[in-house]
Amino acid sequence: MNQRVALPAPTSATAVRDERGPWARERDDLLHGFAGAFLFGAPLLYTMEVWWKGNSSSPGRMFLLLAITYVALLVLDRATGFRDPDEKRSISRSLTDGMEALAIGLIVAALSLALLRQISLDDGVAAIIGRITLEAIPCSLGVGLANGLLRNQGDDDPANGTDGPGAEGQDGGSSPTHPMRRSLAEAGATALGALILALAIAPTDEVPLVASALSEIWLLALIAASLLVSYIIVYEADFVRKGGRRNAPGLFKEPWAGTIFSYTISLAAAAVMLAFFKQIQPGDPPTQVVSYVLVLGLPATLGGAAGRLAL
Amino acid sequence: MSAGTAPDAAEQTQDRGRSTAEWVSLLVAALVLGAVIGVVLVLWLSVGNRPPHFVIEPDEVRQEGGQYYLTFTMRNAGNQTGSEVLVEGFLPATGSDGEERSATTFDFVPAQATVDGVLVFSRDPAGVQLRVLSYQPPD
Repeated sequence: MNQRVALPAPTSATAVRDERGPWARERDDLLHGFAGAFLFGAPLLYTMEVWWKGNSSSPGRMFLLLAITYVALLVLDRATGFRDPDEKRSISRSLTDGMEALAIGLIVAALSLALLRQISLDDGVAAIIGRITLEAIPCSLGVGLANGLLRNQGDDDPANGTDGPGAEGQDGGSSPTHPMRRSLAEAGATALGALILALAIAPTDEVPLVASALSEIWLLALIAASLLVSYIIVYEADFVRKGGRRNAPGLFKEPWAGTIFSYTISLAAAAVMLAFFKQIQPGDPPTQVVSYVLVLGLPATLGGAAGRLAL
Repeated sequence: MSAGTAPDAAEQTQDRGRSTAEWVSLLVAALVLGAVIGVVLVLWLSVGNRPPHFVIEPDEVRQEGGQYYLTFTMRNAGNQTGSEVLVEGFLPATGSDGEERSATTFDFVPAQATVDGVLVFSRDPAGVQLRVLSYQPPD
């Protein structure tokens, strides 16, 4: 993803934005892409019909799906213009950005399917590739959407272009700045986002299905992945306000503390939703309760991270 | 010198700012895409219309509470997915014991995939006959 490129005739805002080195810029752009893929891919990732359709997809259909997704990414890219609407993007740039979005989607789909034990080496190449290509569609589109839509609202606005500690003063104007109130607002937004995504997935059979396939070591991997993805979305790939998050006062100031706090809230939201839909009940074995909550905790964390971005 | 400037400038508007970092990620992306498309193409070329074909191997027997749990492995050696695959274990009658049957269903067995199943018998399933009773072709 090549969003932050020096223009032939840099404006002052562009010049300020390009303070970061090329590697840091590229890393940020890629993390944006990965965050978007996880955010938009999560709901379909927990849909068993998608896994099943992947089992019996013919190679021709897989090819067609990849091609359609690529074309959709190109259209999205040309339509949203990624950064500045007035910037001229070369066709070749759009073509390669589409390739990268598709590749990120495929990688995220493969990683998350492996994490949920929905692909393994025993499954046969055809089924593995079939599931990955199907799940890669929402993930890739998530990359395109994240880059095209979400980022345009925030740090690409020339008024916020300083990207430094000074920008927080302006950003903080609309949101509570007192540490305690700020923390409450962040916690509330996390809980709300987590509840919305958990609400959609909690009543489905995918939760017990995925949970039954995960041994203790996979549950630990799931925790690590949830924390990592949440951290990336909120602190590394801050879509809306670059730099603002780290400088915000309150409990969410330290990235790792904030990530763990956010994960805790999301797990609570997942547990509430599971109890509400009677997926977990008093008297259920603790291992079952824990695995269900952790399985739903991943999308809940994604929702929580997205909720906090809205603040 | 001045002759070379024009094409250079034209190229720069095309690829201006594409840093080494961006070339690296583009290269990785191209490799990932190439690998996936390559696998799909190979599948496309190799897939005949060979229907599902199941090979069943009995594994180990575990005894628990007077029941015998027979683990088995089934591989789909065909090129198409079979769904609703019904596997039956049949123990012929021997001496005083009558014949005994046990069955299990697999929702999906993709092409070339290996799945595990367990059949439960009330006596030692030595000499058990394992076979697929039925399946549904992919839609």
